[in-house]
Amino acid sequence: MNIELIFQIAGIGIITSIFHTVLKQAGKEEYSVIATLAGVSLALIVVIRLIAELLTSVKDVFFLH
Amino acid sequence: MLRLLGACCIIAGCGILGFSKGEQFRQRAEMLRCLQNGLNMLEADISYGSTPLPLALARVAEKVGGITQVPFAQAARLLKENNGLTAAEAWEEGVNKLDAEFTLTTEEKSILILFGQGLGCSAREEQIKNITLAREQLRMAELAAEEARNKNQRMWQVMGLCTGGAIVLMLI
Amino acid sequence: MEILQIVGVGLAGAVLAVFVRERHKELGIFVSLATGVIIFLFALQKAGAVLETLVQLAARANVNMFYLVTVLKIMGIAYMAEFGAQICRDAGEGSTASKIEFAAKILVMVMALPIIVAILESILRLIP
Repeated sequence: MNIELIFQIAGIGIITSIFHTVLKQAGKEEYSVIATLAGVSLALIVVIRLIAELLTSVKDVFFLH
Repeated sequence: MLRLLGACCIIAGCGILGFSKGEQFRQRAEMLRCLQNGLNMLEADISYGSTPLPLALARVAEKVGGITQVPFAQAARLLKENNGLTAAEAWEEGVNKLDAEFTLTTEEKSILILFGQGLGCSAREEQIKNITLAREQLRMAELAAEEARNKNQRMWQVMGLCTGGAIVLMLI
Repeated sequence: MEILQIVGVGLAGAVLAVFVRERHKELGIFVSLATGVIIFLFALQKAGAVLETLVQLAARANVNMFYLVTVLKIMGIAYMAEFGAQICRDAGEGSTASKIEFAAKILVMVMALPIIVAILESILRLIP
C-alpha cells in the first residue's frame, strides 16, 4: 500500500488525455477513442486491485463474515 | 536513484523513436524542395549553358546536397559509362536508387519517371517545358507533404514521449 | 506524525484529482477513489487495533459477544456505505448515492433486528 499508486493513476490520466488530444488534432479520431479506452482500462486494473484490498480489510476489521 | 535513471532511459528511448518517425515527414518535404531546386539548376544549365545531359546532371548532383543528389549522380554516372542506355532509363535507375534509400510515394515516383521519359529526347524548348511541368507537380506534392508534416510530425513526437511515460508508469 | 502524512496524501490526491478530472472525467474519479481508499486503509489499520482492544475489554466485562459483533458490523456497513455514496456524488451520480445509502439503511435494520427483538422480549418478560 503506497502513495505512488495515486501518482501512477494520475499519470495514466494525464497521458491518456494527451494522447486523446494529439490524436484528435492529427485527425485520427478512431485511434483516440481506442487510446482513451486503453488508458481507462489500465487505470481500472490498478483501482480494482486497491478496492479489493479495501474490502478485504473492512471485512477483517469489522467482522463482516 | 537507479530506477529514476532507468525511467529516464525508457522515456528518452521511446521519445527518440517517436522523433525519428516525425523526422520522416520533415525529410520528405525537404527532399521534394531539393528536387525542385535540382530541376531548376538543370533547367538553367540546359537553357543557358547548352551543356550535354550527362555533364549537366553531374553538375546538378554536385551542387545539390544530401539525398537528392542520388538520382542525379546515378543517372550521370550511368550515362557516362554505359552508352547503350537512354537518358530515360538512366534517370529511372537513379530514381530507383533514391527509392531504395528513402521510400518515395507512388505519386512522387511516377512524377519523376514521367519526367525522365521526356529527358534528352527533344529540343531545348521541349526539355524546358518538361522540366517546368515536373517542377509544378513536385511543388504540389511538396505542399501536400508540408501539410502531412504539420499534422503528423508533432503527433509522432508527442506519442513517442507519452508511450515512454506510460511504460514507466506501468513499471513503477 | 501520521496526521501530517495523511493530510499531505489527501491534498496531493485532491489536486491531482481536480487536474485530471478537468481533462478526463472518468479517470478523475479513479484518482479521487484511489486517494480515498489509500487514506481509508491507513485509518483502518489503526481502527482495527482500537476495535480489538474494545472486544477484549467487552469479553472481560462479560458482555454477550453477539451484540458487540453486531454493533461492529453495523459500524462497518455505515462507513462503507458513506464511502461509496460520496464517491458516487463526486462523480455526479446523486441518485446512485442515495440508493446506496438506502440499501445500507435496510441492511442495518436487518442486522439490528435480532437485538431489537431481544430487547423487546426482555422488556416483555419484566412486565407481568
